[in-house]
Amino acid sequence: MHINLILENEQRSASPVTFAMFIRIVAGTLIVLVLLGLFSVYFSYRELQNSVRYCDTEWAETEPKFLAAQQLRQDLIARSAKLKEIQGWRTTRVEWGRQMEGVQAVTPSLIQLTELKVSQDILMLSNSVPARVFELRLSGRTAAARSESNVSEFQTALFKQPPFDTYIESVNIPAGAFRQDPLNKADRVFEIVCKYNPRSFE
Amino acid sequence: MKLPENKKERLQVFVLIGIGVAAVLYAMTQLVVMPFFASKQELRSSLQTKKAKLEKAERELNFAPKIKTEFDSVTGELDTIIRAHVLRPILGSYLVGVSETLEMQARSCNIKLDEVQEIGVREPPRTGKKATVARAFKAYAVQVSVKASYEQTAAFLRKLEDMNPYLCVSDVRITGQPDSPETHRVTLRIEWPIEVEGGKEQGAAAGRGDK
Repeated sequence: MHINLILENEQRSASPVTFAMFIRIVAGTLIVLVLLGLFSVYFSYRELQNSVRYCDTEWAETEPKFLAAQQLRQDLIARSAKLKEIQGWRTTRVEWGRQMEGVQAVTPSLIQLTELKVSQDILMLSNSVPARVFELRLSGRTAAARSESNVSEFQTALFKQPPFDTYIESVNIPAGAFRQDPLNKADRVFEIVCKYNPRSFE
Repeated sequence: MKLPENKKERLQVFVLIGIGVAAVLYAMTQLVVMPFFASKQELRSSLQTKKAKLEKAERELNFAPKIKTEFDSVTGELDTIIRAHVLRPILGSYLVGVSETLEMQARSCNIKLDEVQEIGVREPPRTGKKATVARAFKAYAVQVSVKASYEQTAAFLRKLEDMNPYLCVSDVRITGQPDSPETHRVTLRIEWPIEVEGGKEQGAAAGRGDK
């Protein structure tokens, strides 16, 4: 038989850890954890602020040097473009002094030149780059005998021999330009047109 | 303060406390937590931007000595070319200097110049991306008339071209004269580069005789 000598509300637990104490410990731990969390968040925020401030200070020191370096780069680009432009003058020209000496050297002895004309055009190449294009037009006369081979030999020399070979794109005798000399029927007159390779400015 | 004895009233108090706590939590979230985290996020992205800027600056500064060396070299080369070969006006006129040069070279080839005529300033065309970019150099052209032999003319041109590698002979016409087979009528068109500053040539020849 079992008899309760104390009422139910008078009963006390024999455990050293009561429920209320457990709740207090849990609540206390939670509060400590929350406080630690809050401190951690706050300190990471402060650290972030300090890093930003440090970057600002560093930037204040670096910015003038950076701007000067950027300006230098821009100046270099501008100067290089200017240098390239003036170098274009050198590369686009044809040295006519040497070309004329070359013409004299390759002209067969039986041919007499009567006129030499050089003209220049500035054309746009397919890549929209301007280029100088030169044309050399030679007029001359030769004796009727062997006139065809003389002129043909001259034409070949102009196309293949230095200093023309690297400059000239085509050498043509225009239709009707090789004909009887109206002043002396025993001679033939002719014209040779040499088109030079376009010489690009850039 | 004691909680009411009545169970219903006690529940109402708990509900009210719950609503109050929820309201306070909501208000704290809206007014403190969210702005705090937004501000932190903003700080973080600002830090990243600043760090990236600093890194870029550092890279640029690391390149700076190389760029400076290249800049000095390009400037030196450009200045040498301009000083030696680009035409400069004398008291506002390009023609004076050109005539002197031509006469000096003609004399050395035993040629007498008949006429040196100013054609003016010309600009090679530009298209594409560079169409709106002004050229740094334009051409100052003159037409020269002489009577000379073929050899003399070739030597004259060679001397001019050797003296200035940037000078360009753009037109030549040599016509034989029936009455004097050794001497020909020669017309030359010669162009010198001139420097343009701010879109304008230096000196009075600017804008004159543009063709």
